[in-house]
Amino acid sequence: MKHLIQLASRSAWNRRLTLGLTLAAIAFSTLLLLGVERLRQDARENFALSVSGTDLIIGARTSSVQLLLHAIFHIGATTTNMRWSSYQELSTHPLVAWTIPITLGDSFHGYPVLGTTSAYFEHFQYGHKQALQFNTGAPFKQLFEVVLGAQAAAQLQLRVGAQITLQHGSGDLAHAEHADKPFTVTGILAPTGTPVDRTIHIPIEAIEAIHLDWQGGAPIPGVSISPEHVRKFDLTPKTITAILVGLKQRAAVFRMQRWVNTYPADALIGIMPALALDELWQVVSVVERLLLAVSTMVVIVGLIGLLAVILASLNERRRELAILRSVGASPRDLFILLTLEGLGITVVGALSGVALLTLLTISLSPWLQSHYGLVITLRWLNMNEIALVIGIISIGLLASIIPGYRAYRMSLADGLTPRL
Amino acid sequence: MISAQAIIELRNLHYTWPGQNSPCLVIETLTIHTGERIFLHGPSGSGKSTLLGMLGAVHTPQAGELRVLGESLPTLPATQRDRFRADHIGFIFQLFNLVPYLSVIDNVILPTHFSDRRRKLATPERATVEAEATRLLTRLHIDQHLWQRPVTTLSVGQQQRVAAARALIGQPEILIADEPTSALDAALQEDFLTLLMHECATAGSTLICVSHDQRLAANFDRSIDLATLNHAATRASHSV
Repeated sequence: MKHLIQLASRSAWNRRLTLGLTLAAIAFSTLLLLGVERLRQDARENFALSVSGTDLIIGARTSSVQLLLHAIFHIGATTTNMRWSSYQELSTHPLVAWTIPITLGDSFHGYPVLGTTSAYFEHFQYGHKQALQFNTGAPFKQLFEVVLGAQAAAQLQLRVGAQITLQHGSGDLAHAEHADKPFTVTGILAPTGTPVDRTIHIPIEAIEAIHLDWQGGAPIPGVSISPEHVRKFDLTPKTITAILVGLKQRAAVFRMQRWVNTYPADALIGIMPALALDELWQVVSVVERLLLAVSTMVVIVGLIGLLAVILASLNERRRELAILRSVGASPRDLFILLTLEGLGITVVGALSGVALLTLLTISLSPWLQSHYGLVITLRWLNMNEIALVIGIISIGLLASIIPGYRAYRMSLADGLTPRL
Repeated sequence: MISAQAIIELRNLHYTWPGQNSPCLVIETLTIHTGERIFLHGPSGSGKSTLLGMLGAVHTPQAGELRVLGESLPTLPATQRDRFRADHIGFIFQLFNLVPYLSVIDNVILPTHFSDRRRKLATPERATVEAEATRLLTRLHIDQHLWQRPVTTLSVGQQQRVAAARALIGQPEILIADEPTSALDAALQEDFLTLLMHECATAGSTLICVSHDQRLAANFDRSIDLATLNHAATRASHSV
């Protein structure tokens, strides 16, 4: 067996160009399949760890997926806000332990600006019920103060004490700057691996303050209210985007949800984060399954290529096989020789795919995190991924049996004199 | 050669290729003795390759007796026939004898991977098979600087001598050469045959050489005309 492996590898090395290309095809298709699978798992895990300990998210009536995406992941937007008075009434509800009001809409260099209260730093939890920690500094106390997520601070190279001006609107649509009202950085949060890292936190009253002299999305011409004068206005917001709610007893969540959904003074919706995520995955899973199906096809195409290359080489190798028979190789030996070639290339190809995945994870994860907030951690293959690799190798083995069998038949028919 | 034992015995042998109606080989009787140098000649289509395939335990006759080294080959299972060929028979073909992706040395030692018997015989006193290969290559006038070369860089004459070294390694009892000189120049043909016969004699191997070139017959102990030996061929040629 050892010398057959040696023969197979030396024969393969002799045809390294064509076989190398086939190997590359298998490596890349493996990378694609494993990459899709890993992104899927990591995205799910990321999303699931982004919020914890929050029993209900309450906002103006919309779809639960939309509210979740907007309030927690700062993706998309909600068309309407909920009233401040609704928030006040909810905060005093006997079932409620704590509330965090949030308002979204502005951005700073592409990072979402979130208006909130100190309750955010006190009650917000992520991962496995972990509270937010400060790397440096402390929560904001004054109106024009700001707390940065770890990544936003690192990317923008801001430290505690730095001054920034916010932009109106978000994303590429952000245009005018709130240049007259600069903010001072008072704290930088420790990394969490969640959207918090990319968020700029300011007091919810500051959102009102910077928009005092604005109307309809633009500064009112000739009207400018200086930061000193702003404090004289009533800065209590009239509307907010959403509230994160913690209950005294988790068991009361359905009662509370019913109360919210039937609240007469405002059209509200209360969602449970885990259920809303499930709903999201149900939508996404169609695409996921499609992606997995496509990448599985790509793997199969790669293996068919391998099969074609080995079968094509078989005719050129007829004499070689006859020589091997004349020195004592049995048809069974030739079967093993050819099967080993295909299997070997599949195994090396699949393992190269895993190696490529590792390389890509190392090189792309900072980019994925900074652009999409997606944390891809370097780790060993999990059972799911190992099953995929074993699946690829098994199909490769099945495919390799075909040239093996043909070599077997050929050597029986040819004997020592190949008919060319 | 009176005391010599029969190494190959054929009686009433019939062989038909799969898918054909009439046999291509019918031999009443043929006996070859140990150490003999046999020249087997006949026109193409006279069944030379078929006969060699049968002596080499690759093809099995449908009827008749075929004993090589006292072993009845047709009754052996396929795996044992492969083992038998690996252990006892060395082959040299007309052209492209060598495995293109192996070096000269690795081509020569190839049979020792498939046969324990030949590996043991090639390595007396804990020597390596490579040492035996270099010994044979030296005796067949293959220079040392060629030993690690890829075989594709060798001339045809050199390739045939490497093939002879491979056929001889591990001292198989029978050496079958199928048109071994037809690709060589006339001057080289004589040299090659002389070398081959000398080495066969040293190893004690019986040599069966097939060729259509009658001029070579003088070098051998006995010459067999397959056209007359094979009754299938005579029948076929009469019917044409």
